[in-house]
Amino acid sequence: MDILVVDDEPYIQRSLSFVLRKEGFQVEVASNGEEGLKKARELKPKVILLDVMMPKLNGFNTCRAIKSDNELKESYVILLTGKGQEIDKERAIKEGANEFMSKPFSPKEIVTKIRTILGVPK
Amino acid sequence: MKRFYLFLALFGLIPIIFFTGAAESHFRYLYYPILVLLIPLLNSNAILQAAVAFSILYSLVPFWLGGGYHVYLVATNVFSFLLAAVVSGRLSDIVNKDRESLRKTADTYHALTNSLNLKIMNLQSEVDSVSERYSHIQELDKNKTRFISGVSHEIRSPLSSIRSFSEILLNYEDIDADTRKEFLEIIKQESERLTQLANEILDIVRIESGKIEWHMDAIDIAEVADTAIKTMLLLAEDKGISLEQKIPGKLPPIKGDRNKILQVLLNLVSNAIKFTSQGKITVGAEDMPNEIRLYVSDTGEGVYPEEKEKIFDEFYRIGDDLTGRPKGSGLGLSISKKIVEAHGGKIWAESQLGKGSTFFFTLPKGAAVADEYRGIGEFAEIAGRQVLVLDDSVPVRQIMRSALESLGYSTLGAGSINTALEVAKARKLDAIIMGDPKSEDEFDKLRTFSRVQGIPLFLVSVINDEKSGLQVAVNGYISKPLDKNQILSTIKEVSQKKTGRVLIISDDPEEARNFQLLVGASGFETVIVPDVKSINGTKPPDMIIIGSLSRDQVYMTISSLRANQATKKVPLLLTLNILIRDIKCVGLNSSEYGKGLNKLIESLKGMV
Repeated sequence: MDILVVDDEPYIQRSLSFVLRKEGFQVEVASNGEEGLKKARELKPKVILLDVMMPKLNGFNTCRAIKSDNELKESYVILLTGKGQEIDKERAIKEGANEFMSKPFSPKEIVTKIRTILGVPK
Repeated sequence: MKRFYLFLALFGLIPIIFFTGAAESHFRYLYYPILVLLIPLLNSNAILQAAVAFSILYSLVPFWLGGGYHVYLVATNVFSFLLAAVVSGRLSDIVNKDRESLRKTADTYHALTNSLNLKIMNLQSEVDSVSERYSHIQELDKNKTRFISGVSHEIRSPLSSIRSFSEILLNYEDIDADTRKEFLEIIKQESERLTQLANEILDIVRIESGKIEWHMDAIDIAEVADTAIKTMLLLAEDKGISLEQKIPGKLPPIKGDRNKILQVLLNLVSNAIKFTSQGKITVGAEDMPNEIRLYVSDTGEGVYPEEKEKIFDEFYRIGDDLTGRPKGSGLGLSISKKIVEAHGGKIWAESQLGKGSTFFFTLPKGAAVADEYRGIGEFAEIAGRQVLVLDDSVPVRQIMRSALESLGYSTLGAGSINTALEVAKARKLDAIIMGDPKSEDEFDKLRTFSRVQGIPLFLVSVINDEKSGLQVAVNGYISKPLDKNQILSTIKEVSQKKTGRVLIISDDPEEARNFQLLVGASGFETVIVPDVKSINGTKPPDMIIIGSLSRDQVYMTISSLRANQATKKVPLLLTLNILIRDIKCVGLNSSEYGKGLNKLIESLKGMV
C-alpha cells in the first residue's frame, strides 16, 4: 500500500485520491482519525496524508498513535492543516510528523512531494 | 419651662438653708456669685435668666430680715450680683462662641466625610465599570480573533476544493465526461458556499450598523414554517431524520419581515440537523397571550449548560478547532438573535445533554408589535445619526448609549459639561441627551449652546443603583417655579388618572404646601412626608412627587423608592430647580423599559 489519505472533507479526499491514483499510486481513504488509524494498522501505508482538524481523533493524536506504533512508525506522515500557524508547526514536529503542509495546496505539489518520498522518477 | 422650675427650687433652697442658720457670717453671701458664675457653663439662656431673677430676689432678703448692717449686705449682694452677671455673660459668650465654632467645624467635617465617601463610592463604581468594560472588550477581541481564524478556515476549505478540482480539470485531459461533470459541480457548490459565507458576514455587519432594510408586513407563521420545513426536508432525510411540524390551525397574523423570520427558522432547523444523528426534529408554534412562540426541537446531542447563552454570541462555535466542528460560519445563531430582537422578541435555548435541544423564539403580537415596529422602521433614518450622551455616571452613560446604539444611532459619551461642549464643537451632532442635571448653571450652559447651534437637547432620567443592580428612572419632571398647568398636564400624562393619592416628599414646608394646593385643587388626595423614610406604613400612593431635594438626596430617595416593593412601580415625578418647559423631557421607567425607549425615539424623531 502506497498512500492513505485521512481527511473528513469529502472533496479533499476525492481530489487527492483522484490525482494520486491518476499518477499510478495505490490509494486508500479514511474520514476520521479513528478510521485512519485502523486502516493504517491494516494496510501499513508508506505515506499517510493526515488532516489536523477531524472529528473523533484529531490529526495530532492520530499522528502520535502512528509514531508510537512499532509497526507503523516508519510510515511517512504529512500533516495537512487549514491554518499555517507557527504553533501548529511546532505541534506537528512534537507529535513526530515528518512533514507539514497547509491548505490550500495544489495536487501537483502533493504529487511532486510523494514522488520524492517514494523515490519514483517522473 | 421644666428647667426653670428646677432652678427655682434649687436657688430657693440654698438661701433658705443659709438664713435659717446663723445670718452673722457675711461670707455666706459669696456663695451667690460663685453659683451665678457656674450658671453660664450650663449654657442655657433660661437658666441664666432664672439665676438673675433669683439673685435680685435674694439680694432683697436681708431687708426683710431687718437689722443695722443689712444695708451693707444689700450693697455687697447687689455688687456681687452685677459682677457675676457681667462675668457670666462674658463666659457664656466665650463658651457659646466656642461651641458654635466647634459645631461648625464638626458640620464641615461631616459634610467633607460624606462627600468623600460619595466620591470614593463613585470612583469605585467607575473603576468597576471600567474594568468591566475592559474585560468585555478583551472578550470581544478574543471573539474577533477566533472569528477571523474561523472565517479564514471556512474560506480555505472551499477555496482549496475549487483550486484542486480546477487544476485537475486543466492538467488531465483523459477524464471521462461524468467525472468532469462531477468535478465542475463541486467547484460550483464550493463557490456557492463561499458566497453564502460572504453574505452571512455582510448580514452581521449590516444589522450591527443598522443599515439593514426591513420589509414589515403581516405574515402567516404557518406558511413560513411550512416553507422552512420543505426547504430542509431533503437534508434531514439524507441523514435519516424525520422533520415534523406542530403549528396550530389558527394563528393570528404577525407583523414582521417574512424572509428574515424564515431565515431564523432555516438556521434553527439546519443547526438541529447538524447536531442530530437520529430521531426527529419538530418545528412548532404556540399562541401565547401577548406573543407567538415558535420552537425547533431536536433529539440531538444537546448543548452544555455553560454554552447555552454563549452560542448566541457572534463568532461563537460549538466544539473546538481540533476535533472539528460542523460546517458553518458560527454566525447563524447570532444573526437569528439580532433578527428576533429587532422584532421585539426573545430567543433562547433549553437543552439536555445527549437528549436534545429546543430553541425558542417569540414574536410579539397586537398593539405592542406596532409600537416596536415604529422603532425598527426608523433604522434607515436613524443610521448615521450621531447623539451625544452626557452624564457623570459611567453606568448611566453605558445604559443610555447601548440603548441608543441598539436602535442604530452612533453615540458619543461625555462625563462633564466641559467635555460635552468640546465634543459638540468638534463633531457634528444630531442631538444631545443629558442625564439629570447637576446644577442650573450647567444646564443653562448647555441649553444656550443647543439653542445657538440648533441641536435639540433632551433631558433623560436614568438612575443606576449599584446595590440592587436596578436601573431606575423617573417618569416625568416638574420644573420650578411651580406652574399649575404644567404640573397637571404632567400628572395626567404620567398617571392617566383623574383622582387618586399623590405622595409628596419634600422637606420644605412651603414647597410642600404649594404642591398640596396645586395638586389637591384638581381632585387628588395629597399626603406630605419630609423624607423617604417617613412613607413606611402609609397607604401606597398612585403617584409620587419628589420635591427639590439635593442631588444626592434625590438619588437616595429614588433608589429606595424603587427598591421598595410597595413603591417600585409607582409613577415618579421629579422637581427640578430650573425652568425646563421648552425642553423635551423623557422619563425611562425600568419596569417598562421598552415603552420608555419608544418614547425616546418618538421624541428624537420629532426633533431630529
